[in-house]
Amino acid sequence: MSGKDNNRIASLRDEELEALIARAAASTMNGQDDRALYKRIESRVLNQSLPPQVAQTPRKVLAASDSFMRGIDALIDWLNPQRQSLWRPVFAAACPLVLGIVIGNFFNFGLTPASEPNFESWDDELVMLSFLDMSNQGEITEENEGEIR
Amino acid sequence: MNDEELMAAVAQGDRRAYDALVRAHLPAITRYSLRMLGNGRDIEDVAQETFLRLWVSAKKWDPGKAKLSTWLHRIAHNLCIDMLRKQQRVLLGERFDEELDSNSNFDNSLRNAVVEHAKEEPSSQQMIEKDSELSALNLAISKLPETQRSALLLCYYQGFSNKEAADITGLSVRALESLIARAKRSLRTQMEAHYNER
Repeated sequence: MSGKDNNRIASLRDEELEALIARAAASTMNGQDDRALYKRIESRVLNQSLPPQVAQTPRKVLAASDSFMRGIDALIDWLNPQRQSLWRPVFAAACPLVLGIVIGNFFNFGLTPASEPNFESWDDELVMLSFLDMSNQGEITEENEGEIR
Repeated sequence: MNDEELMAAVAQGDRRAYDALVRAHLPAITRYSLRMLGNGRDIEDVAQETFLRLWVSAKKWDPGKAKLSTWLHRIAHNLCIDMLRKQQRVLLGERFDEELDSNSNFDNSLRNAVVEHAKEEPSSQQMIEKDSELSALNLAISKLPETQRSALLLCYYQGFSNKEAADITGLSVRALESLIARAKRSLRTQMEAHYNER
């Protein structure tokens, strides 16, 4: 310590403080009482009853699930970065739409122009619809009574 | 056998590997808990719980992410913080109707809780220390807020790098460095006061 005399206010330099801390750190657990305390703790920790270990998941499975989770984490980090950038979430939201358009262009799912009635225009379609007799729909007749119930 | 092999054995239920790990890491954990808590009963609980978690969570430890000593210190650190908060709750509960200073913030209350506890049951180390400088330093450290105390202890007493200490405490390296600087400033003030009293 510099300025240890009683006439001046004592001041402590950085290196003196560090040296004091180092001395305190070195003196930890040196006393007899501390050794006794340590022995007591050691015996308690060593003799504590431990639960049985559950069967370990195979390392391959762990590694696979770990890399999968890391991939998901990386994707989420990319979509929602620390820095504000709007285009990534917008891009992510538009992905299903683009995917749907692409799939719709490549596959017809059994819906071809030939499988539909060939109407020339939408008013033809309406005319044909008007011919449908819907007056009996929803009525309970003697014939369909059993079916409905 | 190194820590990684011993932990793999512990994950398989090998009790001897557990004993070896306890003997290797218990002194550091005890030293840290002693400095953080300052009394014997709680240190025993922290040490026991830390190594119970080592046994139970052995499979979760990833050697690529953290050294075993860092991982164990993180467990012990969290347990110490829990203990200190529990002590603080008990003390606050007891004094609720008496003289609770409305201006004291959490850190002050916690610091008081630790100092009170240290007064009630002084650590064995403090009792045998004859060096008044070291006693004064220990007292000054025990008066530091828990965040500053843990940062200082991890770097200066436990020998961790700033990054490792930041990992243990869950802080950024910059925040940890700031805590250490504040802790040292506070220690210097208290030690100067101690020298001036002599």
